[in-house]
Amino acid sequence: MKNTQGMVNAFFAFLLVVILGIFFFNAINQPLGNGLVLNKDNPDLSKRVSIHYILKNVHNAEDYLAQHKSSYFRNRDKVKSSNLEFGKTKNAESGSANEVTSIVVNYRGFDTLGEVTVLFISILGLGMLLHENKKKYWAKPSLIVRTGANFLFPFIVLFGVYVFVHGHLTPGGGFPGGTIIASAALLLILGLKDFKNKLTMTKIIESLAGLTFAGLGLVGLFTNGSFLTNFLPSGTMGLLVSSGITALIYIAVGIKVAAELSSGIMEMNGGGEE
Amino acid sequence: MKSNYAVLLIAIPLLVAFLQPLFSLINKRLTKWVTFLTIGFNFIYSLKLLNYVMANGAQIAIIGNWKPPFGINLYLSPFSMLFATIIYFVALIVLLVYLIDKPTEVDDRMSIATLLMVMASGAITLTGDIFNMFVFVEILSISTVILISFNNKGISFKGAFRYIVLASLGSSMLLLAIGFIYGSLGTLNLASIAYRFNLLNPVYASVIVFLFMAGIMVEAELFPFNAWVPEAYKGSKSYLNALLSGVVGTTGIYVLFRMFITIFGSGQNHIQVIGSVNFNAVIIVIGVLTTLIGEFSALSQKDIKKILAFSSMAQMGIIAVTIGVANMNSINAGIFHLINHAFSKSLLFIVAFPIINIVGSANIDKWEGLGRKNIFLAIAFAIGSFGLIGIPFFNGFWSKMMIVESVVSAGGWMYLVIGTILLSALVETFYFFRIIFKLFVDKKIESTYSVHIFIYLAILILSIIVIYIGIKPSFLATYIHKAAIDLVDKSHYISTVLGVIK
Repeated sequence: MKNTQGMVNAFFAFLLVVILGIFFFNAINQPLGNGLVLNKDNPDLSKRVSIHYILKNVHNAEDYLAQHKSSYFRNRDKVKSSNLEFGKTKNAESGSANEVTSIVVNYRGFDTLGEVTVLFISILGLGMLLHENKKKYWAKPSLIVRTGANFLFPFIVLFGVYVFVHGHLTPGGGFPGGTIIASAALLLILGLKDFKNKLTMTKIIESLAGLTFAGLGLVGLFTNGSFLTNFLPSGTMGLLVSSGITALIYIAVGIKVAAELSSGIMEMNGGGEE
Repeated sequence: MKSNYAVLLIAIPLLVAFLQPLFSLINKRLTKWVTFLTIGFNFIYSLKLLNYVMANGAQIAIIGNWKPPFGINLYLSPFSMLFATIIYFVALIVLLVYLIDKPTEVDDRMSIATLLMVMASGAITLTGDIFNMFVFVEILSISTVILISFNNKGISFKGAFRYIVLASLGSSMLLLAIGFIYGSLGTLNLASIAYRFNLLNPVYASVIVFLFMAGIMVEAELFPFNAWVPEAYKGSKSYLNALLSGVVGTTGIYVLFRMFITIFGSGQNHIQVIGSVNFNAVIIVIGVLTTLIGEFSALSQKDIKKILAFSSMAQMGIIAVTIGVANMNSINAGIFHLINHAFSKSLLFIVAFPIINIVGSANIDKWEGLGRKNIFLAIAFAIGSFGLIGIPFFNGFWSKMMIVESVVSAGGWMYLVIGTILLSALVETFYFFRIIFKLFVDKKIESTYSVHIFIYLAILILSIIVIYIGIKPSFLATYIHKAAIDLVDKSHYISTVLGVIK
């Protein structure tokens, strides 16, 4: 009886999905005539806000919008672009050489603060569900695993640190860098027999990194009048010491993500020391 | 420049939430107080901002010194600040009860989840960027899951699981809608979407509106995305249910109001969602179905939490009808009823908490004779339910009157909708009076549970508000009127944010 009902439910769910699927594909793939639609085959970046992020001419675009009012939306590509040269341009708007970083941490940094919070609250919920979890004991690791873990650990951490410290210059950044470091913690759990969970320490590190991110934003608010404003000089584009608070925020994000994911792994390994 | 400081409403709770793990190392009970004080700060500051925007008109707060539509901005208007204030107020009252509840092992995590949930709800009402809204909806749904699974029992997990499945489904639909909007309009800023939405192809616009509506209906407790409601409410503590109904539900309906009328809607006099489908009719049908299902399910329940859960679903349906009717009166009525519902329903949930502890059961059959044991709680319960039913001299009376009046003035096939609203009021009267009669039966209850002064305080504040609005509805009238004007005036929204006049 119960099985039959499950089948009926599954059938209706399937029917719903099929109908919705036909509806969406129909609407998206048909030639729709008049009006704007998503152009999948030939996306035109100049019709999107992100063109200004890539060219780093948002301030010019702001001026253009203030002067030309509504015609801005038709003539996005006419906004004056700024000359950018890797390693030479000084005080470029959002000085990071990596365009993705300048979008993620600078132009839309507030969203990143939110995303960091999403990760924070997810790990918190994981800990809450697992807080009665007992410590797990794994089989004794073999010599190869033990030696390999001890040998590789510093290199993995070093690589992770490299990825998030160079987040404003090269592909990567806080989230991948933090994940790489957390994978080193996982390796230690698998490789060391007497690994001790250090949840208190990860909590403290995580809190301080979060404090740095939100605190840098607040400093921007109190000095320059707007939350998450870059209040440090941007320096020369392409150098390690450049792009103001973007680099600092990405380092904080990297440390925070590393601590959070490590504490998630430790929660699954059996929770706290108490 | 002063309005940029409004971002503190989001930044301070986030900063405190990040610091909470450090406070929990000192003492887990401390985190409850820190959460309470932070929400208190938010409430006072938002009240100040509400008065500021009431006097000076809508403002924007820019973030990162990038002006809209290039960066993210917050939009502070009578409508958004009114709801932010109400959300913080309800949360503050509920936290009074949370403070004195007996300590548990997971108090630190609960406080963080509560803080982030209230922060995210406030942020959703304030934000002027659609992707930013999505991020906060994510935070809201994850922290709600944590609140629901608080009890660590079977039914909590069942409710939490249902909620997380539906919320993930909703989030992915929201993300799809945002992807379509960005792909076609090239912007994420709400004002600039509103400015250019009528350029979209109607079929394509309907797909976007459908996806967006489905995404937010999970939070707004509307049919068919509300299957999580009964288990989730049953599984969590009853004062936390007040947050689910008064904060999460209110936020969901707020987003529907804002998106349907200001952003996707087409103008000042005749508000209609653009697209090839008649979305006004769609949302009225959804509202009517939700109301009927909610009221009749509530009628068949014996468990107080489930009754109140289904009842809150039904009220959300009635408010959704006012969004669909969409004339100036119905918007006024909808906003008023949403506020009244937040107050009355939180009052009922908070009263249910000590009653369940005294009686030892959530089953209403066991509630006989509570009036003899503790007359104050029984009267407070009666006040809350009178407010919800809409008995004269209680707050719900005025808002339901206004709803019926506005639907009558819309005319046409709307007469069928009036039937539903009146029927729902009748059903509500029946099941609430059934409980109230039980409360005043002459019977003796043995119990040693003593009600804490903070619970009395919370109940007293909310009861006074319910009665005060009932006697003097003009107390909120100016706020609601300005909020409704702000909601309807699309060109004002666009010119305030972008500086472009439509």
